[in-house]
Amino acid sequence: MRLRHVLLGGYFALATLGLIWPGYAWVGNRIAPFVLGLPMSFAYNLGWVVLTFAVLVAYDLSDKP
Amino acid sequence: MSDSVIILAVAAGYLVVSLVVGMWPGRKQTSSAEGFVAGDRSLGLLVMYFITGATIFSSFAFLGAPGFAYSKGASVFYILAYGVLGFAPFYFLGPRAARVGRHYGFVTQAEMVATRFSLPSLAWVMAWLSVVAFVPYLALQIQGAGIVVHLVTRGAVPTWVGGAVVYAVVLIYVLRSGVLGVGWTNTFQGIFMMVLAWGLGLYLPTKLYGGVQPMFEQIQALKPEHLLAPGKGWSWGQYSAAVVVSAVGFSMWPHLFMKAFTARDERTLRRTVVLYPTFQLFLVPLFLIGFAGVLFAIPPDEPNHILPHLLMSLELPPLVVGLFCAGALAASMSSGDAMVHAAASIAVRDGWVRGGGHELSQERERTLIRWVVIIVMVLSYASALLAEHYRVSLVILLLSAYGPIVQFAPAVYAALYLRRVTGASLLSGMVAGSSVTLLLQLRQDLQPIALHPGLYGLIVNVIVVAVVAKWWPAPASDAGDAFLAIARKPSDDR
Repeated sequence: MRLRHVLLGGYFALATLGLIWPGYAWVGNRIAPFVLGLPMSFAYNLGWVVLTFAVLVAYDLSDKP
Repeated sequence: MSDSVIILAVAAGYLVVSLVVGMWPGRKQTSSAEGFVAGDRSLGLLVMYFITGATIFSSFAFLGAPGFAYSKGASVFYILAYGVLGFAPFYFLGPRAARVGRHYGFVTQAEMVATRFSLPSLAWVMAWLSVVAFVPYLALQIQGAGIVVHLVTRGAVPTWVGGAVVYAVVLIYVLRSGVLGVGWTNTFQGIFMMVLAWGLGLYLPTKLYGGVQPMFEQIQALKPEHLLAPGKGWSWGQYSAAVVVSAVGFSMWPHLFMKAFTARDERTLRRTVVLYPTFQLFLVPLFLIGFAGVLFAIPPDEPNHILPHLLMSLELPPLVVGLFCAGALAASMSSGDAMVHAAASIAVRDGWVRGGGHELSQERERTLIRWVVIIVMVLSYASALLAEHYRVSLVILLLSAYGPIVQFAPAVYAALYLRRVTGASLLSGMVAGSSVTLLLQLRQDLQPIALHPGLYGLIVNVIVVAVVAKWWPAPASDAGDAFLAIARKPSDDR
């Protein structure tokens, strides 16, 4: 299996744990600090959206035929 | 001119533009069923981006999401979470489905699965589960459109009239242009509702609290629990299960999966998945609108009315209210059109042709799909009226319908990736999983731990597939191997 596949699979495993219990509960589920005017519990989820976009772009651009 | 007339004039102007945009592409497509259902496999990145994004964001976006944030607080973030995880598998599933779709002429996921396992009854079961799932979902869209028109005209237009007029427009352009009409209206509607959502999402917190952060600081001071997950009425188990089940089921919704067969090439499909998270940012202003209502002095009749309630309470100019009305209708229509189109295509293609073993010419199949579009629309409209009359919660029906859709996942993954699974095992798993989901949906008290009925159904589904496949292993099949070889082989358009 190519390294980029393993890295992508690892990223999504991490994202899954980060977005549900226990990852979200332990790391992102707090009100302060505010990020861009949003409470941490909101900004944390939004951060995963932005990060996932970046990861998918990188994965797609590294796909050589 | 009264405010209601101005509001209705803006909404009517929007409906006319939608109709023109939706009918125009019908001039270009072929008269075949493939043209009507899969747009002759010609959709480029712009249309694919909006057709997937706008299809996903339905009436729920303008009514349900703000209502959920308003009443349940941080529970609403589960929508962002499952969106992050849910569409990514389509980066791999989509191109594989597109390859076999081009080779075998598939336009639905059920015919793909049934052909892979040489089991027409699989298509029949998937077709009817899909249709049963779509009717309440579509009824919800019709009801949403009716509610919006009713509220912004301060009751001057009844819900049943508003829903009927809006969905008559949808019916016309879907009948005329098929998936191409859906695609181009979704592009127009997607841009329109994004602009509206961001405008209102930033305006309302500023008007009511002086800005986004001041709004959250005031909520933090008075109702801090509203900003913390898992939110009001949910445990962490229910929050996590909702994320997992929704993420697994996300790509399985037939009206979304079928878009794999409409894309021009594999690169377009992949880029659509890569760009999808940018469409998710559209949820941010909708959540902000819901949070803006948390400390508002006068509560709405019900949480889902929070956005129109705020707009009407603030005495905004009728032009702004009319634009909101148009944006909310765009959200409803951009999902409703794809659903009615998919439900009719699946009922005919999978239920009648593949599942029932009937032979039809391309032209006759297209004509039959158009008739079924009308039947599905009428059934859904009747469901919306009945639900309103008897005050049945369509959200409950929708949740019940979501369970069977999630049960498609093992069959779809197996069709595109696995050699040693049989159609009989997948059919058994699907039926068992759907039954368990439905039972636990109706009798929530039977759940050993409060999670999501669909998750229990999915676990039973996978166990049944594994056990049946172990006892009755799949014989070697050249056709199955050939299918998987086509699915694996990248095409030249990468």
